Amino acid sequence: MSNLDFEKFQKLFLQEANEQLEIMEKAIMQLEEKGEDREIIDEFFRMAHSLKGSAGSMGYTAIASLTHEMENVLDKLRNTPGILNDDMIDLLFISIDTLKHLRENVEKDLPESVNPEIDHLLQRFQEITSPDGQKKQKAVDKKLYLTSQEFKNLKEKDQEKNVFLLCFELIHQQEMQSMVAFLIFNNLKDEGEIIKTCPPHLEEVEGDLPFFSILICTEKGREEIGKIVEQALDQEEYKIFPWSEIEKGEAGEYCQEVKESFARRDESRDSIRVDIEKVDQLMKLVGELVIDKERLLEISKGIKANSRDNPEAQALLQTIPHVDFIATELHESVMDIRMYPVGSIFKRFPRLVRDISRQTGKEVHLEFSGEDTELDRTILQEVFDPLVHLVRNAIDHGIEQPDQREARGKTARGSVALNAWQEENNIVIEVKDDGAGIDLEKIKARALEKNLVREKQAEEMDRESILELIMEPGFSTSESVNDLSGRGVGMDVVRTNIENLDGEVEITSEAGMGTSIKIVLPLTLAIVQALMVREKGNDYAIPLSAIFETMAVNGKNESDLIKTVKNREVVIWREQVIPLIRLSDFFQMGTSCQEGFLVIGGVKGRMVAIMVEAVLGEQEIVVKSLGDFLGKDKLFGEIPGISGATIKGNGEVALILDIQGMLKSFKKGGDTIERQSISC
Amino acid sequence: MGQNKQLQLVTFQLAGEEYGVDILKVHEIKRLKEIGITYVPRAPEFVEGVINLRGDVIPIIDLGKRFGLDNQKSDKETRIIVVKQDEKYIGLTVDRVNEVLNVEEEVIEEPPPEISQIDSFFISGIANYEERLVIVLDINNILSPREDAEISKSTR
Repeated sequence: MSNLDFEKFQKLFLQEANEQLEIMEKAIMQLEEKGEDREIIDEFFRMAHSLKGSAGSMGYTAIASLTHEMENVLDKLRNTPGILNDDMIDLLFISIDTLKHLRENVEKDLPESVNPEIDHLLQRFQEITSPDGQKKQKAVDKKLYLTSQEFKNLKEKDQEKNVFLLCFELIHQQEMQSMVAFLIFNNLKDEGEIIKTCPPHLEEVEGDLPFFSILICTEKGREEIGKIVEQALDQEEYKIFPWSEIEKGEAGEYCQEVKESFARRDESRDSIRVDIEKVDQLMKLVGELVIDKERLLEISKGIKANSRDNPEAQALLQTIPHVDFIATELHESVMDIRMYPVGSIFKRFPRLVRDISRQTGKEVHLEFSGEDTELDRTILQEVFDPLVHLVRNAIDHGIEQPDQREARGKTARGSVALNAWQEENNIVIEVKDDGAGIDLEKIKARALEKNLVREKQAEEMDRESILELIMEPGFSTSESVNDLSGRGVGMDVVRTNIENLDGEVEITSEAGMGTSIKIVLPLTLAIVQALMVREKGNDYAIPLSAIFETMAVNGKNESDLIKTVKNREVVIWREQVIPLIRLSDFFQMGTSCQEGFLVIGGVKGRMVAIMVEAVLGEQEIVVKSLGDFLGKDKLFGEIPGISGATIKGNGEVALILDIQGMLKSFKKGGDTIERQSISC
Repeated sequence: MGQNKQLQLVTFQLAGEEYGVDILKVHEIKRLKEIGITYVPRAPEFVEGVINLRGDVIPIIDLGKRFGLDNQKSDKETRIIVVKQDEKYIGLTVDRVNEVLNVEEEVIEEPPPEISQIDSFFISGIANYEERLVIVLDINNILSPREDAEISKSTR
């Protein structure tokens, strides 16, 4: 293999090993939970086997020998039911951890050290697999693994030359085994091209070597090769397989094509790794393209009217819609590159939950839903740590001890669910438990003690605001500081991390029933459809996803549409009473217009009507931030009701209205007319 | 003398006084009339708005207001100096841009506390150059969060 090939295969190996280890880990957990299950064991075996195969073909001996021992244990489990015990489970878990560690070493280009730890593990495995304890001899993997590509290449080589596999079993000769191997290797080297050996780097192996094999491509015939080998061997037995036999699988004991490990990617996903910065750059360029495209569409409107007789203009008019189409498709494709299923991080939780529940003595069942929900990769990475924290909290603070649960009439085993789904332009990830719930009084007391609120404030707070207190910095209800959670850097860090992603954390909890914490994240649709509106000479964009309807308001229908309730203006829309926000009032830009348009919008079931002077039309916009100085936690602060900016066809900036932010800011201003009903 | 470090200052006029910023901090200078500033509602008073700088949105601040100076309205001489600090860009409006001044670093003195109408926090030194007094601004401090509390107070 050339260096480049090697690197390519190494990357592939690392990726696959990662998946295989995850599946194996999951399998152990299922075995622990359900007991012996043939299907799980088979799946586990397959994974261990293909990992062994690819590790062997890459020359990672430690991984190969450890997985080999795992295979043995699994095989034993298959053949003699009823022997699964905690020791085995623990041993398998430790092996997975060790394999992960070894895999990391490969990734970091560290030597794959065969350290005492692994020897010890191997020994423990052998004790399990050979109950008599007699055969303490290391099991040897006699197989030479060939990738499908190698297999193909060899087949071609065999057309012109001869390919032989030589397998040596040094039964009689007990001493100087590696010396014999070296001699044979050296002699053969002069006769042709040595393609592979088992173990790899045969010429460097020292000490015992009861078995080895050499794959060679040579011009010599079978007999000649036999003679050369016999120069170094006396009465030792060896077998020689020509290619035709290997191909037929007659050398199956000694040689295997590792189709599954490399071929599997055809079924799942053929992938390349790309630096995320390159994708970001691409994204930015596509953004520019969309702006120009919008500009072209605008220009074409102007051309249309007065160019009926100009064939060039007509050709241009035909081309522009196509550019529009391509740009939209291109944008979607680039967005898609960045998307990744939430399941990819969910997969890391079963082990965590198992460890925590063991540490705390609680019984926890972990459930998933919506693993296929996709989210921008960068966001996904950032959201992992907060999720870990929430899951820890759920087990540590939420789920009760088994006896307590039973006393409360619940199942002894608690449940923690990780759910994900898309809700309009947001992705929601929920951590839900069926534990004790959050004690509101306890939170109040704690907040008072920590001086986070004043007594009078606390009395007036509603449920929601009390729950939000747990996300204040310095708040921690844990009675004992332990290894898991409760160091006082908890929920506030979660909230900060999520808010840095432009997301939100929502808590609901019911005493005795459990707690649900939702992380609401933007889809990062950097380009969205928006309605452009105008107020006092300024253009604003409102994402279409938040809009239900627009209605013209004029002298005739004004009094029918707009009512006043408790000194606040409301709009009656489809028998709902929704608050009215006049954009000029909200932005403190002087008196609002009396005629114009009502934009009925809403986010998460909360509705609002926004009064603007004019509606300009729909258009695709590129969402940009307000820069490094404007916005939450930035030097000049947050701008209420504005979530970002976009660039219009003429190169000027238009601000993007944030309906949710407006509702929030509006509510803070003392308005509480939601869900009031009036008859009219 | 020749060994002394040279400093290039972009000098400009603001409310009757002459100021300078290190040319290395200056990204570009634009005419106010050439660009459309988008007003940002409910932003701090000194924020004039935002502009599109080659695809990125950057804020423009009225330097006079930022310094708390009583300043006249903009005219055709008004310029926007786009400065950068730590890869962050911001535009500052000034009454007029004068010239690029080559000075030796040693002519820049520590600012005496009462030299100018503006807070000495924003000043890195005074260049005493051929009987002109140029107030050298500290861009880093102008764009740093010391006055955060004050800013948010004034807007609410």
